[in-house]
Amino acid sequence: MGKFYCLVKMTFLTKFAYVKAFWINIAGTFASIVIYYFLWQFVFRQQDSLAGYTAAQMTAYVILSRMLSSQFSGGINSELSNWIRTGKIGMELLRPVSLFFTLFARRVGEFVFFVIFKGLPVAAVCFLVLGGAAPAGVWNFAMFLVSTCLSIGIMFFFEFMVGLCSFYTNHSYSLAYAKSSLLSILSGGVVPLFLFPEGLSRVLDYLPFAGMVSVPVNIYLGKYLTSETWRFIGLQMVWILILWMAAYIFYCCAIRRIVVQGG
Amino acid sequence: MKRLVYYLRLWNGYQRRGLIEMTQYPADTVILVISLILREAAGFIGVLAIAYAAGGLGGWGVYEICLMFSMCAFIESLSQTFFDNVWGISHMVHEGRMDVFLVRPAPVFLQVLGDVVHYPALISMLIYGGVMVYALVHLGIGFDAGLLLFLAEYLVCGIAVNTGIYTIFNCLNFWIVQGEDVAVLVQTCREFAKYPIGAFPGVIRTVFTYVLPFGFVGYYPAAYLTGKTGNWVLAGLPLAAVAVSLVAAVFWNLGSRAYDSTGT
Amino acid sequence: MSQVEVRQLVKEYRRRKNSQKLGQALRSMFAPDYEVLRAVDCVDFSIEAGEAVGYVGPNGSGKSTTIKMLCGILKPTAGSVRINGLDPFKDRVRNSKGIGAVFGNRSILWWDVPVIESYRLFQKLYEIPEQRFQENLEKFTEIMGLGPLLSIPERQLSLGQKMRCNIAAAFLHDPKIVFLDEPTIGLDAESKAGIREFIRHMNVEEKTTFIVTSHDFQDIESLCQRIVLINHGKIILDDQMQKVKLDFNRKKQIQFEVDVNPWCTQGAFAMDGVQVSAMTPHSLRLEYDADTADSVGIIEAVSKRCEIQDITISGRDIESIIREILKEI
Repeated sequence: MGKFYCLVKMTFLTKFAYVKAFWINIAGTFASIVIYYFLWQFVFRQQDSLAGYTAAQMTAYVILSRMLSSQFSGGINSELSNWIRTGKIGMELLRPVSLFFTLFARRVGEFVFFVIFKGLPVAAVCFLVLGGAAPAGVWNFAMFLVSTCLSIGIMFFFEFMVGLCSFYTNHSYSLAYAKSSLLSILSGGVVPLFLFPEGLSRVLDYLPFAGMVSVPVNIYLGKYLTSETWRFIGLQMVWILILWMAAYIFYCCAIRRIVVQGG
Repeated sequence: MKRLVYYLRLWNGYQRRGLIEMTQYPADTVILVISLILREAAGFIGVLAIAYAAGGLGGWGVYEICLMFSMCAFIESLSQTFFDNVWGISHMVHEGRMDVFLVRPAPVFLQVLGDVVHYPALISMLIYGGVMVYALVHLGIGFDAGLLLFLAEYLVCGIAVNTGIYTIFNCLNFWIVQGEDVAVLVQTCREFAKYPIGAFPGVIRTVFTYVLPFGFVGYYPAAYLTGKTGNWVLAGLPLAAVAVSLVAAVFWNLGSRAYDSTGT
Repeated sequence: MSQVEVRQLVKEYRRRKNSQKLGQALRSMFAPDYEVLRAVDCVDFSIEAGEAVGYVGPNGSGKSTTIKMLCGILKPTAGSVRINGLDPFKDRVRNSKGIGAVFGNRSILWWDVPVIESYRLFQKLYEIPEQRFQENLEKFTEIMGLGPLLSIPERQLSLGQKMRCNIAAAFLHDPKIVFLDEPTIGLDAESKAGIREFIRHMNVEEKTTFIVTSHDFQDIESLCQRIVLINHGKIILDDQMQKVKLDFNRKKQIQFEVDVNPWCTQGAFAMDGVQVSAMTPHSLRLEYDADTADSVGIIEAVSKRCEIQDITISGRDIESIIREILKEI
């Protein structure tokens, strides 16, 4: 646990070294919130509610979903690709902790930094200025927090697997981009899943992608019954386990390529 | 004139290098094309879903939105093919690779661009070209000399605006070391170009017309084609292109002056 | 006018102070702290055409920074550089036609294409006439054995092969001056020898001027007539290699293998300016000052008392001389 704390703290402190980049990052997230806010404002000028969402709820949806989507690239896959490309992966494998552990600690460090310096302040400003709906209740808010933490777990394994793809391709940058785009459509990061055709949206609800954005935000807005909330959180956990196993198997296959390459 | 011949020869040499490189990694071609298509499709699906739900957006129908998106994406794929390495600036600065360019007797910017050529992006360009034609046909816009001339103007100016803005932002990497966040910001800003700007309040509209004229990459040309705005676009396009290119040149020059090669 | 003129050259870097304390790190988000580092401090030297200069110093002494300013990569904070009469930073393009540069830790070729394609691109970049290009290519191929490498992409070459290809690339356009920054870093002895051979050939036959930085003193010793030593950004020695060796090589060592060492049992070896640095019953190592004692006298004195079986006289190599100079400062 001490090791984990150290690694988290190290990531946290390195983030400070790139402060200018951080301000730009905030500006990026802010801009994307503004785009979708105005698009939806436009829609709600003609109607009061859309599939049970009021304008204020949609604003809250936009703020939270954009914020969570900005976490799709927590720097894990780019770091991993970098290690693989430069051969630094060999050094990392020599360390007495597993690659999963190191990277997960980094991810947590990123996330803590994100929550404190980006999540809370930007959300506060956006909610006050743009007027998003408050959480449906204290319980919803608590469950939202739990669900958000789980969503980071799901994202981590996706990132990890995309990073591992660098063993097979040079275009890790475009791959990372494709990942972000794909995740943001399928997770409800761009538009709420209910806007998709009925059958498709139901399927998407149960895929791991929904667990990254759609589930936590909908819990926050109180769109699920209590039993549904539990079910979706359970589903998130199941997906984490499945993805964990998938990532592990992929990792074992991919790592063999180092031996071949390093020969 | 002699300079021009030199540049053309050089360009030619770099293209040749790009082609050889492509043959070395066939699998990457597929990945690149898929990623390009997904990248554009994400926003497209989003705005289409909103447009369906609300029955149009600010007077823009589905086909009109299609037209605008495909135009944007068309330009983007061309930029991807020949100008993609402006995104590499961050990497080059970070690892001090700019050193190598600086000891050669050719403009550094040309060398940077030449270093990466993504021919596979032309495939996605063809796909978006298809969508564009499809949208044009559905909107009943006739193919005549005027349209082709306008498209040619749009192509040149659109690429200049697009690449120019990318260059401006990527030049920030000369001062900020660690560039991914810059990329995210620019790509987000570009999103604005893909939606009917009319839906946004005046301030944002002004920004994307005069400050970061992404509007000229998609919205205004599409609006012109569908008769939503007047002939001023014909003059506006080259103006925006020239202005952006000039600013980009200034940023590039300032940036390369600030370059302090890290590493040993 | 000399080919390279460096006057009062200064380069300062601004470096952000990073804190490992959370509180300070927080404050630095809004008001970062900077410190100024003077990497190169009032450096002066000039180099004539055809010279081969070794530019040496410990890590972080400002070697690479100087070289980068000479190449036109970095803008000097103050002072001036003239290469063939041009300011390398302002006249970058014109200057770069007359110079070649090799960075030991950075390839100047294109990673993914066969080496010959990289050379072809160099031909276009430097506008090398076809005939000249062929001649040079042939010559370099012969000296460094590039023949079989030309059709292979750089990424598949070994480190030594890569470096040979890189060095040849830097000479394709007949540069008047070539900067070699750590050209043999990480190479095996054979590759090093090949590269040195080539560089010496170019220096002697083509009169190409060289500035070499290296941590391998064999490189410096075998290639350069002149040595410039820099530490903490300041030049502390600039002289001909022979003279440096003479000036600083006052202390020599002499080692005897003898049948029986008489001083081992009875009394010390006494002679002016000579110290015993080690001895066993069958050997004797002496250190002497070339000013006050000479080897012939010592050998005579030793041979009077015992039978000499073997003698080794050694001066110090340039590496230990430099180390000593650095230690003294």
